[in-house]
Order: sequence, then structure tokens, then C-alpha cells
Amino acid sequence: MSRSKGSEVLLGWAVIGVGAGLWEVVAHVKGFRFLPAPTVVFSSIPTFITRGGLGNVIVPSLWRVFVGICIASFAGVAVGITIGYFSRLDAYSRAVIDFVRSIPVAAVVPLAIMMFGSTDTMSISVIAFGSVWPILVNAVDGSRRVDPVLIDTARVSGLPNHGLLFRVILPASLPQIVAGLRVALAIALIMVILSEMIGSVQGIGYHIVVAQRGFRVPQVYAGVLMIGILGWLFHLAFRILERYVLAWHFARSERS
Amino acid sequence: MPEGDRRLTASRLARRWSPASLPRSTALGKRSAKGLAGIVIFASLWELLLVLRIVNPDFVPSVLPIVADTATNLRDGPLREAVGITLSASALGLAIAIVFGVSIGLMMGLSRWLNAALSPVVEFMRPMPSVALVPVAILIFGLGFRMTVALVVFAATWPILYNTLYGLTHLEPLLLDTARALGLTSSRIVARVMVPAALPSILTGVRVSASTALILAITAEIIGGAGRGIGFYIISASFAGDFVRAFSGVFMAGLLGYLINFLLHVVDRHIVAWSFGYHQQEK
Repeated sequence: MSRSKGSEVLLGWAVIGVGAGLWEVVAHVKGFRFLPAPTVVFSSIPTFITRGGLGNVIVPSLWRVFVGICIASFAGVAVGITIGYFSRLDAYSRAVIDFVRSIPVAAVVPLAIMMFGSTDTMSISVIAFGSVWPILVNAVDGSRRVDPVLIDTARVSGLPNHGLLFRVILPASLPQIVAGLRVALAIALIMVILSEMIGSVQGIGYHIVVAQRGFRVPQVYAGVLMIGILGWLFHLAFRILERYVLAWHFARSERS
Repeated sequence: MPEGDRRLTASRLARRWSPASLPRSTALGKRSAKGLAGIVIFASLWELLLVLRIVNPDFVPSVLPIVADTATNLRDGPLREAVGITLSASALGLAIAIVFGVSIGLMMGLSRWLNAALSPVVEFMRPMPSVALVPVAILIFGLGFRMTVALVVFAATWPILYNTLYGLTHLEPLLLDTARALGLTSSRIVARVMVPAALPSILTGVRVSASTALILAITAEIIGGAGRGIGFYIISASFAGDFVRAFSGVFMAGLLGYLINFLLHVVDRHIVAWSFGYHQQEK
């Protein structure tokens, strides 16, 4: 797929274009109720965003993802590095972590609604719960794999304990933690939509469900499209962040 | 005796039960004992948080009632029915997804033009969070079992399709050259060389999809608030204020997820062992 020629790339886009065109024509002629034409979907994006008030659709969702990811990163890295560094903890914690991790995260949303009601706290706690695991597991793995020579060298050079943590172990396991963070971000986007669909009064997920209950079909599709675009933007932003934070790592692996 | 021969012989039996092999099994026992201890510690911490009122006991029940409620309702109660419904929705969806994913993946993997024509569509659709499509699925299929299955199919098709395609397009060139040099017809090359060589990758896709299927089934049931599966069990209990039952539903969901992951892990180890042996033989 990576070595495709120009003509093949063109063919792929042609297929998308022709497919969308066909869909458009069929939707206009036959008028399927639940399959609106692409142009109708695109043109209802502004309506979707502004209907609930400009600041009530995208902004709350983004804010919840941001806070949730911050909590998940902090907790995941702290607990993960502790388990990774004190390797005895691993055998005790593994069964519990594996079990809690295999709970389908959607299942905890009703519990969070019982505890916190339809609030930001509910959404944020669900996001943090869902996205902490990839960060935690990668932090355990990353900090366990730190080259022992590196640690010994730091000790011999008289680095104090917190120096060892912040100057050696954390940077050495950072590439893997960032890999976990990438997965966590994708989960966070899913969790924010999910929590808003089930119990919220704001955000993209909530407004999709409202549109669905009111049978405003094009707006449902517009909302889904918004999520796709948001996911793509997250991916892009993350790539830039990764390049910036891990510049030293990439430089090092290119040299060797 | 050839290296690949796994038949049990007297000497192997003796070796298996010799004292030299014992430390490994006791190490395993020690590990699971520690895991068990970890679970007990976790449960005690949970109780401690409740007793100290750091967590509000009005909302969070203690551990034993949850486990007891799960056991009672699983033996002869609504939870048993819910588990059956959720598992059958996931299994049905996964089966349809395997048919879709493998056949489309095969077509794309075998035809360069079809691959070029469809890969942008696949690249567009694949990263779409399936959760976002729940409202669309509700619009099209209504509330209930069909909607759940449709979502499972959508979510579970992509990993299978992608891995089938990957397996077919990343074959060892030497394998194909050898087959061609031996004068195999192209249909035989596909059936006897390409598909078997891609099989481990296809199975990896199925493995990923199997855990996705369960997650999506439960998610659809929760958002749809219908279907009478575990998701519905959890959400109806929590909206009725029955906290013990809601937690027990989540516990059950976790248990199912854990068991499926465990089974897939075991299967995966066998697949990896087999494909590794396969490649060893090739070389």
C-alpha cells in the first residue's frame, strides 16, 4: 500500500468521489430517511455546532478530555513507575490490574453517573479511568526496562534518589510512556463521547443523542463526522507533540 | 528424533516429572499466590476506604455483597440470561465480521487494483470510533439485538480486514518466487501458499476483534438502554438505584472480559508457536 503509484492513488480517490456522488444522487432521488446525502450532512455541521450554543458542544468535550488525560497521565506514570521500579510489587498488582483493565469501560459510566450525577466530574472520572491503563502498563514496562548500567552509573556518580527518578528513570521510560499516551488519547475521545451520550447535558456526544431522539438525521451524521475530524486532529497534534518532546530520542535512535 | 516431534514418549514423560522441572511449577504457584494476595489486599483497601468514609458507602457497596449478588443472579437469575444475550450478540457479530473482513481482505490482497480502489475508504473508516455510530445504528436498526450485532460487526471487521490484507501483502518474497519457480498455477499459489502464510496474521486480527466485540456489545446495550444484555442489566440497575446489582453487573462484565482475554492469550501463544515453527521449517 505504501508503494502505490500515482494512478492507483488517483483510483482510490476516484472511487471515493464516485461513491459519494452516487450516494448523493440516490439520496436525492429515492430519499432514504436514515441515509442523508453527503452535501446535506456537510452543510448541517454549522447547525450542529451552533444549535446547543457555540460554547456548549465542542468546548466542554475538549475540556473534559484535557483534564481527564492529565489525571490519567499523572496517576498512570506515578503508579506505573512505582510498580516498575519496585519489581516485587508487580506479582501482587498484576492480577488486580489485569482484571480491572478488562472491564469494558462503558460499563463504569452508569456507576459514575450514580456517584457524581450528570456533571463534568462524572465525565472526567470516566475518561481518566478508561485512559489510565495504557499509560500505566507502558510506564511499568518502560521503567522496568531501563538499562541497569544507566542506573548504576547514576548511583556511582552520586545522584540522589529524586535525581535518579527525574533525571534517569523518567526520561528513559518516556518514549514508551508516550506510546501509551497515544493509545490513551484515542480512548479518551471515545470515553468523552460515551459519557456524554449516557449522562450529560453538554458536549458533542450529548448533542448527537439529542439529534437522534429528535430524528434530526443529518445532524446525527454531522456529529459523527465531527468526532472523526476531532480524532484526526488529535492524532495530528499528538504527532507534533511527540516530535517536540522526544526529539532527543529520535535523534539518538537515528545516530545508532 | 526430529525436533518438531511432540509425541509423548517415556523419556519425555520422565523429564517432565523430574525434580529438575519442579521449580518452574512452584514458581508459577508462587506467582498466582501473590496475585491472589494482591486481590485480597485490593478488596481490603476497598473496605477500608468505605469504613473510613473516604468513599461514600451510600453509593459504593462493599465487596462481599457484590460477589454474593453476582453468584446468586448468575445461578438462576436475570444475570445469567444477560450474559447469554451479550455473549451471543458478540459471537454472532464476530462471525459475520470474520466473513466480511476475510473476504474483503482477500480480494484487496489479491488484486492490486481493488486494493488501490478501496484502501482510501478503509483508511477513512477504520479510525472512526464505533461508539460514535451507536446513534446512527439506533436510527437504522432501532433498539435491540440487531442494533447491537450491527455495531459489533462494524467494529470487529476492521482489525480482521486489515490483518488479512497485511498478511497477504507482507509475504516473504522468497516464498512466492519458489512457488512460481516450481511452476505452480496462480490459483494454487493463492490457495496453498499465500493464504496459509497469511493465516497467523488473519488470526491475530480475529483475536483483536474478539475482545472488541464484547466491549462494543456492552457499550451498545448501555447507550441504547435496551437488548436485555449485561449493559442493560447494569444501566437499569443503576437507574433504579440498586447499587449492589449495578456493581455486580460491572464485576461480571470485567470477569467476562478477563476470561476472553485469557483464552485469547492462550490461543495466541499456540498460534505464535505454530507460525514460528512454520517459518523455521521454511528456512
